[in-house]
Amino acid sequence: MTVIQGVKLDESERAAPALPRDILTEELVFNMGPQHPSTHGVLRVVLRTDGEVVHDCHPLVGNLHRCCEKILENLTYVQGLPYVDRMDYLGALNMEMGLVLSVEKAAAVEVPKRAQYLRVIMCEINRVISHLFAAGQFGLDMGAFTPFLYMFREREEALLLLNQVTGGRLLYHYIRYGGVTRDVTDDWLKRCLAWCDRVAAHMDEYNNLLTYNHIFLNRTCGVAIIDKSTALRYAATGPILRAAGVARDLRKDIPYSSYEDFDFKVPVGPHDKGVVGDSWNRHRQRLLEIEESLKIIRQAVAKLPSGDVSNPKISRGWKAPEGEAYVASEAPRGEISCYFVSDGGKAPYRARMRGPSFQNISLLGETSRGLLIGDLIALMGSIDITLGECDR
Amino acid sequence: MILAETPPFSSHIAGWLAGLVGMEPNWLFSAVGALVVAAVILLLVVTPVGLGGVYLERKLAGRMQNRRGPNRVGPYGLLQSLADGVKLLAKEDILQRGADSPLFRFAPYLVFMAAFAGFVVLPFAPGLVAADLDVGLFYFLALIALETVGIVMAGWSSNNKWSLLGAMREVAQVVSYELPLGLAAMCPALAVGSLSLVAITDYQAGPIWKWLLWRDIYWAIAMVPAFLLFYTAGLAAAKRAPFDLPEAESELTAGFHTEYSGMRFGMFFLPEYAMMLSLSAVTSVLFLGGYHDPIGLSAPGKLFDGVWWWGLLWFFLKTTFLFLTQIALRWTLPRIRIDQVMYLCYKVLLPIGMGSLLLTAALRLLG
Amino acid sequence: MKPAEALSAAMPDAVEEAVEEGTHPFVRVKAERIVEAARVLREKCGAAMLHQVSGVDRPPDRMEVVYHFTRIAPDPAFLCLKVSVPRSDPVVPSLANEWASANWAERETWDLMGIRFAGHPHHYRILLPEDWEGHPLRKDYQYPVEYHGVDCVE
Repeated sequence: MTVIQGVKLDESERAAPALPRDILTEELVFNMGPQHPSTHGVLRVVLRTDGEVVHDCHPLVGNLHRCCEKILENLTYVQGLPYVDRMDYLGALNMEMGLVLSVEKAAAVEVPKRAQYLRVIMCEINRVISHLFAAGQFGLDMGAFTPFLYMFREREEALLLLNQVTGGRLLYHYIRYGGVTRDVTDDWLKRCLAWCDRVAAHMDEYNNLLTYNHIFLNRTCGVAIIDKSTALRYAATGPILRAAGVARDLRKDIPYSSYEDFDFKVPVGPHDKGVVGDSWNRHRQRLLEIEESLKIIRQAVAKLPSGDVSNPKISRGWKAPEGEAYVASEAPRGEISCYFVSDGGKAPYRARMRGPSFQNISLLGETSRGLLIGDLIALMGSIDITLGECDR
Repeated sequence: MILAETPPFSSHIAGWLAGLVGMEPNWLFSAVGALVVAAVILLLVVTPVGLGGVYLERKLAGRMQNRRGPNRVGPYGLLQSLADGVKLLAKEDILQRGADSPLFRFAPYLVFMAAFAGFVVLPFAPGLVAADLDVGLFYFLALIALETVGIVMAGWSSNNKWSLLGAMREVAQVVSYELPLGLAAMCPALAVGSLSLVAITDYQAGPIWKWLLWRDIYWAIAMVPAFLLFYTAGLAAAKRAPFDLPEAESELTAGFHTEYSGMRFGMFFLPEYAMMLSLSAVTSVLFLGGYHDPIGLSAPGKLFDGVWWWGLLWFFLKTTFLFLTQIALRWTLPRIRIDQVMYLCYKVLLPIGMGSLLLTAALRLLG
Repeated sequence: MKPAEALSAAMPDAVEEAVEEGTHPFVRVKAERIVEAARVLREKCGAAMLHQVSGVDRPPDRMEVVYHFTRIAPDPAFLCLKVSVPRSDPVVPSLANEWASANWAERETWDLMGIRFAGHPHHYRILLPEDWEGHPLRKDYQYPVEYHGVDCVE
């Protein structure tokens, strides 16, 4: 009998019949292995099912563990920054913000206003493309092949924009302690606004093709409900929590990097179809958040102040003085945070990163009981996990 | 033998063979002649059309998805299917440890046979049918059931729980959808009074208003639901999206054919397109007039009566139209969950089918 | 209510240290009273989620577990509790039975830091393989030379 992370992989238990005179069936232990089109990365899920109905589900993480926290303790501050990108590789700029904000708070580093606005613009573009990816991927899991490619059309243009400023399409290394690396041109800002208009114009297309499609509604409405209490108990944050009806968005609640200067709404479930906290609401939540992010980008571009884009006091060999801080920020998948402790040395003493997917995946076990396998796919797709930030 | 009458090509071949040997053409030579015609149809017509169907699907899917589709191999990517075939042939033949080897090996052939044997009864053009069976329609529907056996064999013998799950889903789906499929197919058969596909086609000789779909307003009320039902149930029987659960890529990796690679996978892949084509063909024969053109020039006594290439052209046009619709549906719609598939079959389509059949019977009685 | 006030009022003998100013306000409580302290935070200070559990190695003789709770409304904020245990035998009562998010977070702290959580329902490693030896985030961790035949030294 194999035991992995305390999970027994045997089929010696018989499934209890649902009705007294039902057929006695045997349970199947399935392995949705690390390589699977739907697990969004190397997530291994061990399912115990009675046919198609899931009795038990054990997510086994750790396949992408790259010891980021230990590496951050061994490299200097500036050397360690690229490792943080690779945690949530789909929302890399937001992940950089996570580490940089904590260090800046602990070391009381000032960030110029222009740099803060540029950070906001880049992070919101990153949020839009991450949500486009997530929504398209969810459609792909549900069998809708085409909306995925339509969303990638917008994503491709945004990657070009980000590439022109930061030098990277997926991993950016743009946000540094004290500011950002490079300024933007007026021409880039014009193109960025044009892209925002294009995304806004295409939202109707996505909604007609995917979100309000009858088959998609049947697959996702009322399916895999994560209600408010479950989300809070498991510390599931981000679109999951908001679709469950909790009005929590760190950009509004505990603003960072000048988010208080912008006027935007926080969409909260329930939305017009389905039940609060179901898969459809999470999907719709992401699409609504895209629209809000576009608003923020437009405002930031319009109000962009002039000035430096980095703090001249931060050099390559900069060390944070002794201190500690805990700052959380809103990434596309939830709340990321870093508990940062410094002892004055050349490297962080402890940089404990929290990736939201770690807690989001942990609620799979409880939420998946009684679902059909197709519904489990809807659950995993709508939670939108990235194993990089889960395993770090 | 249940050959209704020997079609001209096979009788020519029978006569020539008999002349070679120096005997009178009897039933043996007719049978051999029919076999030769069937082989020619399969080789010259169906396989390239199957490969072409793959190419068409990939190009069309690409254009629908804002990209080009294959365009590297050959001009406009026309040789892509050929390259894929060569690639599949060159792959390593993997047989799993623990797989039930005889079943594992035989399953693809069974599926292949079932899909391709369906083309034998299709009337491609006046006089161009491999075997004009009296029970052609019944034979065609029975072959779909035979394919199910092959798929269950594949899923079971793969020694892989995901394949098993895919095979179980497939059995549930295809066997269930045979019911509405059969009911819908009975409507034109009842209207014509014969199960022979050639007879059904001949009944519709004439212009477009002679098609069984809309002969007059009362027939249209009975036949239009039957047509939609047959097409939808055909989609489910061919395991095409939105009913492609048995091979749902995002859920089961590849469903029942996960463990198959190389040409064994090709033996599953090609019959899928052959099945799509043959279902489109049978739909067009039953409801859309088969090889008759919409103007009526192939009716008895008219200009193109009995002209084989004219019939072939229109047969392929109608089949291609339905085939393209299947492709468009696949790339537009998400996948339906298995319990919803069952619900749709038993609680929605089956009542519609029974209603259509009753209405057709009533109309037939009343003349 | 601030956590320092609430905890000093409810369990004054368990509070070891309270820092209210600066970049990171926290309250250090005795290790064995952590479950009760978390309850006080939930009832009196409005802590709705256990946001993060971190382990910090403080050689030569202490280890810390740092809990960050978050209050959602009104007045969103992060509330921090710290617990300090001896390095030779680090055991902390587990919060996993009351706070479901502590389940995986404490498993990770056990996995990487070696701090045991008494009463945890599923006390296994989570990120590293089951047969890994040692707890990597400790400051005195020796890197392995090889693992299942794979060379680990550059």
